[in-house]
Amino acid sequence: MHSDTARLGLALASSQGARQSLLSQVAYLEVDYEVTWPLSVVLAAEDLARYRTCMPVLLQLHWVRHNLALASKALWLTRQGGRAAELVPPSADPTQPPLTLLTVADALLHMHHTVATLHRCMLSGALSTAWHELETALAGGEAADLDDICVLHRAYLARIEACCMLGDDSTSKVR
Amino acid sequence: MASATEPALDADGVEEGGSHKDALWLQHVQAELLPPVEVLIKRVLSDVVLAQTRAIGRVLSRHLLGALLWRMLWQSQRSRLSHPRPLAGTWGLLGELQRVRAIMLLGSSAMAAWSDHLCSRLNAGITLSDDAPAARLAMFDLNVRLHSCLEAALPLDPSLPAPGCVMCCCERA
Repeated sequence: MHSDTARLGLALASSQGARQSLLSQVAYLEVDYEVTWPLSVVLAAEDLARYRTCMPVLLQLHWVRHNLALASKALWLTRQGGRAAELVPPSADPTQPPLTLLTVADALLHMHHTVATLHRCMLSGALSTAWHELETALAGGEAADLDDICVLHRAYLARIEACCMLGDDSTSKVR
Repeated sequence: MASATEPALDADGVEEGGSHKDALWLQHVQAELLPPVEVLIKRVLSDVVLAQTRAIGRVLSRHLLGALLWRMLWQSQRSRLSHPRPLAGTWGLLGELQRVRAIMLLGSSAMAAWSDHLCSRLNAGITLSDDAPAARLAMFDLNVRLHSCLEAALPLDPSLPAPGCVMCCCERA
């Protein structure tokens, strides 16, 4: 057993999550990770807090994507079983054309595609692109001392936040 | 210097027997050669003060030496810290950053497996609240699963060189 797992812990940030939806409650999940000295000079508590703000976004997207995949699978299984009409909800507006299995499947497919693309984009940006930039900067000699490493790490964190649409300029990217 | 306990002698070296001349001579000796009591007290006090001063000086010099050594040690550690290569390579900064990335940003198969478990638990209807016993049980389950997933899949040993650690390669070179 690795002793480093003792530095890990999962907790809830607040008890207010009980009054909210499950998707919102995921935002209160916090993973604590204890960084030992001297690495804590670079990976300080405020930096870990920034990591913690990104984690719920990725978890929520993962859950939505997971559920859309489950719904697609359930729709397909229902259609195979000849019980497609049970899955299609009745239309609330009589002026609108009635929902068909095809429209539901199409909407589901589009939603799944959009969420999966967004999830992949966030993960690849936060995991690969930002990390590659940090590695390149460190290997390129941009860090002459400890302060430079901290600056590079914070730029890396800002890049991750931007990928998770948590940065200051994220709204402009969404538009 | 003559002492008060020694017998008084005249100019020829003969012991004197208490004449007036002898008494005058003794007064002269006491006045001129023996220091008065206050002078003795001052001398003793000055000796004490000198000793104390020396002791304080020794303590101070010891502290100053300690401070100097501490400053040298701190500066050496600071210069060691300030050098990015040992920090990134020897102390495994990139490895630690990779671990944090793998855990916090779900960048590993272990965390993906844990996320799937979380999704299934959420779909099963758990409530993430710290004031309900069932929620505490759910949090315990999520904690246990988190550790088991990481222990099974993620190399958490800090002595292991992180894959793709450029600074480690530089350090070895």
